[in-house]
Amino acid sequence: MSGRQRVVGSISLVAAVVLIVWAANGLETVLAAMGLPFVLVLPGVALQKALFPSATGSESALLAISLGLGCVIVLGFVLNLTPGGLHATAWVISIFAVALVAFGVGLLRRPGGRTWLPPRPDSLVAVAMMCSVVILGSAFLIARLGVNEHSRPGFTQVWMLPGDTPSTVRIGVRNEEGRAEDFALRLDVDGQRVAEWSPLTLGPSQEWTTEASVPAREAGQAVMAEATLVRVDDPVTPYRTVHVRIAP
Amino acid sequence: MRTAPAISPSRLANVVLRRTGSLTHARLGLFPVLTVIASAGVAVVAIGYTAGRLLLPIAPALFWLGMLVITVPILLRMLAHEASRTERISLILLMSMALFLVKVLHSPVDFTLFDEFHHWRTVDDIVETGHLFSANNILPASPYYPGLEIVTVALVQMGIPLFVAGNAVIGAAKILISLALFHLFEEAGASPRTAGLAGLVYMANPGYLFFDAQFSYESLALPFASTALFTLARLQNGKLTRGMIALTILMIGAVVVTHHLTSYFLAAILLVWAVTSLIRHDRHWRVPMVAAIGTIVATIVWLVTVASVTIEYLVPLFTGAAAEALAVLTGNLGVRQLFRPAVSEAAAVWEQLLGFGSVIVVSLTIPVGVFILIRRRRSNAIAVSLAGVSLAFGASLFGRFTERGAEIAARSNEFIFLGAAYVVALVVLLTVVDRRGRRRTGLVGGVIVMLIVLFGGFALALPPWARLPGRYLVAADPRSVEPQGIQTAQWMREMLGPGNRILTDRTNRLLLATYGRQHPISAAGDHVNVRAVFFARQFGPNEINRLREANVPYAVVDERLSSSLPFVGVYAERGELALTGPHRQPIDPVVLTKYDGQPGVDRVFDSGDLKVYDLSEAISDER
Repeated sequence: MSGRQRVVGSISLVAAVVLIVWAANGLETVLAAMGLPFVLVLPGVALQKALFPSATGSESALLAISLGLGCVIVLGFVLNLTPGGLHATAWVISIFAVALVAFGVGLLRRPGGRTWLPPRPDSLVAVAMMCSVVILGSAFLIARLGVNEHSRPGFTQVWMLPGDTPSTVRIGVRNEEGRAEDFALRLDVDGQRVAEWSPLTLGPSQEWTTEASVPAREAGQAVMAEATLVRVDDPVTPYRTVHVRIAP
Repeated sequence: MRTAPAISPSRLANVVLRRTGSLTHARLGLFPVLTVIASAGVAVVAIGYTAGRLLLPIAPALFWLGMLVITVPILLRMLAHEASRTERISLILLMSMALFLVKVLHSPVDFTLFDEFHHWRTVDDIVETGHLFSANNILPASPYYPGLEIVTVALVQMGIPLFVAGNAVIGAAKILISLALFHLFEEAGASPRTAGLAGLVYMANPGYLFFDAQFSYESLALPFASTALFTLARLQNGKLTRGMIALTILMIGAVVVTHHLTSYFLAAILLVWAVTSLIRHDRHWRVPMVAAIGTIVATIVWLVTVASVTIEYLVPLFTGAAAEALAVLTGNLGVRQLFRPAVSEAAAVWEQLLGFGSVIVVSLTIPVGVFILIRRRRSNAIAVSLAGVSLAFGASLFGRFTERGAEIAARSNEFIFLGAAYVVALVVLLTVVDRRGRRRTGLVGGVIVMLIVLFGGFALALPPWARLPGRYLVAADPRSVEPQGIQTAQWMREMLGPGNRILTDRTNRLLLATYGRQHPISAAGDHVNVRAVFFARQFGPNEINRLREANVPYAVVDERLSSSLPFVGVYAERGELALTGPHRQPIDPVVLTKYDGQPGVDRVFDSGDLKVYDLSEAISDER
C-alpha cells in the first residue's frame, strides 16, 4: 500500500466512523468523541513535530503526550485570565491555534524526505487488536452488569417539605426496593389525620409526589405535619416517617 | 522400563518460547499475542469484580487469577533474551494499560475512591464558574493545584462525561510515566532489557495499582516529574537542544501547579542529583543544579503566592508523624500493627507473607543493586542519583510503625521506587543472565523473585475489603459508596438546592459535595470544630450553640454507622480520634438518633438508613 493510499484509507476510515456514530447517536456524540483526540492528541503531536522533528517511535509518543498535557495546562491558566474564562469555544480556538502554528513550524522543520504518514497496516497486529477490543468490551459489559445486579438491600425514600403556597406541604415517595410495592401514606397534622393515600402502588424506581393542604388550628399558629408510610401487608408498623413544622 | 527424563522448568520455559515462534511478529515479537492474553486476564478480573458484587466466595480467586494471567506472560517475555527494544516498550505499555483497566473496572460507572471525589468537586466548580481557584472545603489544596482539573475540564466542556474524561487523562498519564521511566533508565545506562524490567518493578510499588491510577492530582504529577527527570538526564548526557530545555521547563512547571508533594519530592531528587554531580565534577553538572534551584524556587513561589492553604493541610501530617514516632520511641504509644485494619480480621496469611516477602526482597536487593550500579555506571550521574534515591526505601520502612508515619511512607513509595526499580531490576537480571547476555539457570529464580515483588505490591495496594466490590461496609471508602447515599445527595440538590451547610459523616460528606453540590462541613476546610456535636449523645444547648456559630442548618445521619467499627478508622474525619480516642466499639445508636423528637428539628427525608434533619429553626436566634 502506497503512502497516498494509506492517507486516503485512513481519512476514509475516520470519516466512515464519524458518519456511523452521527447517524446512531447524533452530532453531540460525534463532537464528544472528537473531543478526546482534539484535546489529548492534536496539540501534543503538533508541538512534537515543531520542537522535535527528528523524534520517532516511542520517544515521539513520550514527547507528544507530555507536550500536549503541558500545553493544555498552560492554556487553562491563560484562559482563566480572560473574562470568559474556561469554556468550550475558548478551548477550541486556543487549541486549534496552537496546533495550526505548531504544525506549520513542523512542516518547515521536517527532516528532508520524511513524510507524516499513518503506520503501515499489519494483519497480525490488527487481528490481535480486534480480539483484544472484543475481549475488553466484554470485560466492560461484565463489570457493568455486575454494577446493575449488585446484591444490595433495596430502600424507599419519603420526604416532606413546606409547599409553594402557605399551609401546604409537598410529599414524595420513591420506590427503590427493586420490585413493585404497595404502600399506604398517612398525613397527620398535630395528631389529627387529614389525608390518606392507599393503596399507593409504585413500580421499581417509580416516584410519586403530591401537594397537600395543612389546615391550621387557629389563624397564625404553626402546626406539625407528619407523614407516615406503611406497607400494605404491615399497616401497623411505620416504615418511614417524616415531619415538618408549618409556620403560619 | 525407561522413564521419560524430567524436564527442568528452565527447559520447559525455553520450549514454550521456541514453540511460540509462529506467532512472533517481525518487529513486535510476541506483543500481539500477549495483548490478547492480557486482555483475557483483565476480563477474568472483571468477572471477579462481578462475582464480588454478587457476594460469591470465588471472587478473590478470580481476581488473583486474572492478575496472574496479565502479569506472568509479560514478565516471562520481558526476561527473555530475544525480545527487541520495541517489543519491550510495547510490553511495558501493555502491562500499564492492563493494570489501569483493573482499576477502572473496579468501579466502571463512576468514581468511588476517596480522593477522587475531592477532585471531582474541583472540576465541577471550574465548569460552573469558568474559572480556577474556587474554594473546595473537602480538600482545600485541590483548587490551588489545578493541573489535573484543567485538562479534565477541557474534555468535559467538549461534552465528554466527567468519568470518561477523568479516566482518559489518567490513562494518558499512565502511558506517559511508562514511556518516561523506560527512557530515563536508558539514559541512566540501562539496556532495553534492564529498562523494561525496571519498568515492571516500578509497577510493584503499592501505590501503582490503585492510588496513582485514581482521579487525583498525584496521578498526573508523577508522570510529569518522571518526564522531567528523563529530559534532564538527556540534557546532562550532552543532548542539549532548545526543545528539550523548553520541555523540561514545561514539565517542572506542570509538576509545581499539579501536586504539592510531587513537587517537593522532585525538588529533593534533583537536589540529590545536583549535589552528586557537583561533587563528582560531572560534565554538565549545571543542568541538574539549575533544575533543582528552579524547582525549589517555583515550588516556594507557588506555595506562598497561590497555594498557602497547603501549609495548614500538610504541616499536621508531618508534625503528627514526628510526634507519633517520638511517642513510640518513648513508649507512650504502641507500635502500629501491620496488616491489621481498624476492623475485624487481618489480611489472609498468604497475603501477609507476600507483602512481607516483597518488602524483604526489595530491601535486600537494593544494597546489592546500588553496589553493582555504582560499580558499572559510576560515570553516569543519573544512575548514581537513582541509586541514592533507592536507599531511602529502608528509611521509609521505619515510618510504617505509626499511623501518620505509615501514611507518609505509603505516599513516598511512588518516588523512592523511581530509583529502587532500576537497582532491583539489575539484581534480578544478574540471576537470569551473565554479562554476555547468556541465559543462566536462574531464570526460574528470577521469575519467582519478580512475582513476589509484583504480587506483594498488588497485595499492599488496597486492603482486602477495598480490593473487591461487595456488600456495604461502614466508613470503608469504595465499599461505602452505594445508591442510597448517592440518591440522598441527589435529592438534596434537587429539592433543597445546592450549597447548604451540612453536618455528616466521612462517606456522605463526599457524596453530598459531588452528587449533591452541597457544602458538608469539614474541620480542615471550614475551620469549625463540630465533631463534638457529631459524637454527642444528646442535642442540647451546647450542641445547638456550636451549630449556630458554625451556621449548619442541616444534618444527614447514616444509621448504618452504628452497625460496625469504621473500616478506615474514623467515622467523620481525621482528627476525631483526639476527641473519641481509638474506636473500640461501634458508635452508639443514640448518637445517631439524637435529633429525633427535639424541638425545632424537622425530619424532612427518610430512606430507612439515611435521614435528613432540618435544624434551621432549632439553631435560629429566636430560640
